[in-house]
Amino acid sequence: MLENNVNKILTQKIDRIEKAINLGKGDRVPFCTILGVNAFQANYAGYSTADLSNDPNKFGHSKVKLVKDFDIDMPFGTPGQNNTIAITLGEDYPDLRPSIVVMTGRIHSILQDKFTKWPGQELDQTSVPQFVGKKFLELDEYDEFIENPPKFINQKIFPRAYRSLENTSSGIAYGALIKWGKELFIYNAAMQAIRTELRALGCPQIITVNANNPYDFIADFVRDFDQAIIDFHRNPEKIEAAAEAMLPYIMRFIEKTTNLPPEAKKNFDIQNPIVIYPLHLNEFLNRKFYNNYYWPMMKKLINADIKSGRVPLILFEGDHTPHLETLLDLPDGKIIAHFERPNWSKVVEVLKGRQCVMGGIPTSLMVTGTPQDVEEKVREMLELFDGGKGFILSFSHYSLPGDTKVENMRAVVNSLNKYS
Amino acid sequence: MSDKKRLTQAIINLNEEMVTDIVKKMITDNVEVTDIIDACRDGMTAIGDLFEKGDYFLSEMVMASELLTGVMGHLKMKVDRGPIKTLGTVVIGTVEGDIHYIGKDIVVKVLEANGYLVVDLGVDVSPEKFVEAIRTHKPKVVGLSGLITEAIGPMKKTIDAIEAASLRDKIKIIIGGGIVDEEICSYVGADSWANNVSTGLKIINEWVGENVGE
Ligand code: B12
Repeated sequence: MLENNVNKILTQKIDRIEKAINLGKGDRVPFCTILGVNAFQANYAGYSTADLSNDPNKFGHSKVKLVKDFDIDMPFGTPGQNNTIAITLGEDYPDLRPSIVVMTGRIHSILQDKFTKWPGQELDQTSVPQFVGKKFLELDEYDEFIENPPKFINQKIFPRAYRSLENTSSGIAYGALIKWGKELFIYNAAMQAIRTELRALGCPQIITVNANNPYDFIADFVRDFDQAIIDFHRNPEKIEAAAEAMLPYIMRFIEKTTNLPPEAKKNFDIQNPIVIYPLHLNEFLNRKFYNNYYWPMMKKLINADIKSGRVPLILFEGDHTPHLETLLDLPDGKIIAHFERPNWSKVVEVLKGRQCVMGGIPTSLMVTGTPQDVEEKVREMLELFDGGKGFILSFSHYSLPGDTKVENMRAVVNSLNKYS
Repeated sequence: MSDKKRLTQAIINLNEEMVTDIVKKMITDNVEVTDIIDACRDGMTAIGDLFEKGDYFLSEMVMASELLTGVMGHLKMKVDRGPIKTLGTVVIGTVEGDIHYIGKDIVVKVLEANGYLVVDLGVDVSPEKFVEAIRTHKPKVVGLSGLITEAIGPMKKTIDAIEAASLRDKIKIIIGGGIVDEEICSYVGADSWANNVSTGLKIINEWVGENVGE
């Protein structure tokens, strides 16, 4: 009986998601969240953000509770920040993919990286983890990086980025590597357990991987954000060559992580993997930089995804309106475009009926608004997309603030059920 | 075209080579530092307008700020040779826990271009450091920058610490950054707020016109 019911829910949700991606609508518009360690999830389950950062099982419990109570169809997000600088370690040890690029509070305390800060460590127990970034490559080192990115990362960036690996032939360093591996094992087991629990609720499991535009990789992990922007002005050929040099490693990571053997594929309900790309430089770049450098690189990734049957879910951070039209370069119905705070009428004008669009609820509204405000917002968004065709409802951003009102969360689902 | 006008234009065009050449020439020609700074200010104002209109992007704001850092570097060498008149000192920093500096740096450059002596404390600045800097530099104005919600508490803590050190009535405090508004301004106990550089400059100019703390 129960099992039957779960299967029914599962089929229904799969249908919702697949129809939305194919620009249609199932029984309801899907509700998707991309939430890392966030204060609402922690509070709601009775944990601190430090708990979620340090114990992937607690992250799991709180996530399952959220999915169950608020009927989330696509719950993405991992209990951490990104440690993408370690991406090339998957070259020599393929089985380290995909978790090698995850940074959690525990991994941070082991590696002592300089680019993130954590609740219960540098921050108080109830803060959310922060990505702070740092410069790990000087201008005159670009050529060395371009020549052989993994070599440069292994030899130069790791000792600069991880305090524990400052002296790579020290006991501290060897010990840290062992502990890092142990932590990844715990992490992977916890993620597996979450998937099983979610599936038991009828929440479809999708093969997902997080990836970056190589320019964002350079800006966030190699050169530091504003230096990367200055490089676009002063040394565009350097940053371009560095991004080009990273591209094959990023592509291989995506390909290998999502191309699972048949016995592993059985654990997933939707056959097309989703590649989540959070874009970072997009809003900053002028049309020339965007159109000549950033977007062509993005298109290489997107086209490779499409060719292999993957669906890119692209998070356009900030206000992406000035660059919207470039999306018309893509074949219709192949991506999910998630917008943070665009001019929505412009999004409708350019993309409606061409690509699946995602987003709609500013996280600030969840704090300051009333359930009526939330209902109005959901209604408005669905109306923009003709009742929600080719649309996935989601939050503007990946962190739900601690003062998000529970009744507003309820209002999201209730309004979805009411209007779509 | 005068060198001054050419400098303004070179800044607007973000032509680094030209900016450096003209500034060097103006220094050799013994042009008043204030004239060079005026030209920079006009350039920054025009860049701000282009940004508002959507012709320029944040990438241009960041580069303009970098260009002005270069110009100020050249001028320091000149200024070191003799004192120049400043409108007054402004101590500025991004508050504890927050490391965003792109906006703050733009404010620093614009204030400098408008004749202020700016003491930039950097990012993640503790209340104690602000207090110490106020004691040392005796500014007319203190600017606190914050972009994340978590910066509101530290802004209040900083202003409380300034109060506790009995320095509050000697200075005006302005807060700035993406998160700030009227409500936050009164909550943290600042005198005013700005979420763009031109408003901030206007407010500070008004205060200094009234000769705060002197
Ligand atoms: C670049 C950026 C980063 C870079 C920072 C690079 C750097 N060193 O500065 C990196 C990647 C490191 C980063 C990290 C984080 N960021 Co951030 N970041 C941004 C981003 C994209 C742009 C900020 C910016 O530079 N704007 C451009 C400048 C020109 O604008 P501005 O700062 O507002 O400054 C203007 C005015 O406000 C004013 N002004 C500013 N300061 C002052 C001071 C005075 C005295 C005056 C008068 C005026 C004034 O004048 C300036 C010029 O007009 C914004 C999103 C966005 N699009 O705004 C997010 C954003 C600010 N970040 C955000 C977050 C959450 C974070 C992280 C916590 C993310 C994470 N979970 O890891 C960390 C925080 C780290 C930390 N401890 O601070 C959130 C903040 C949300 C919130 N309300 O809390 C934002 C809004 C993104 C979002 N939508 O969620 N970030």
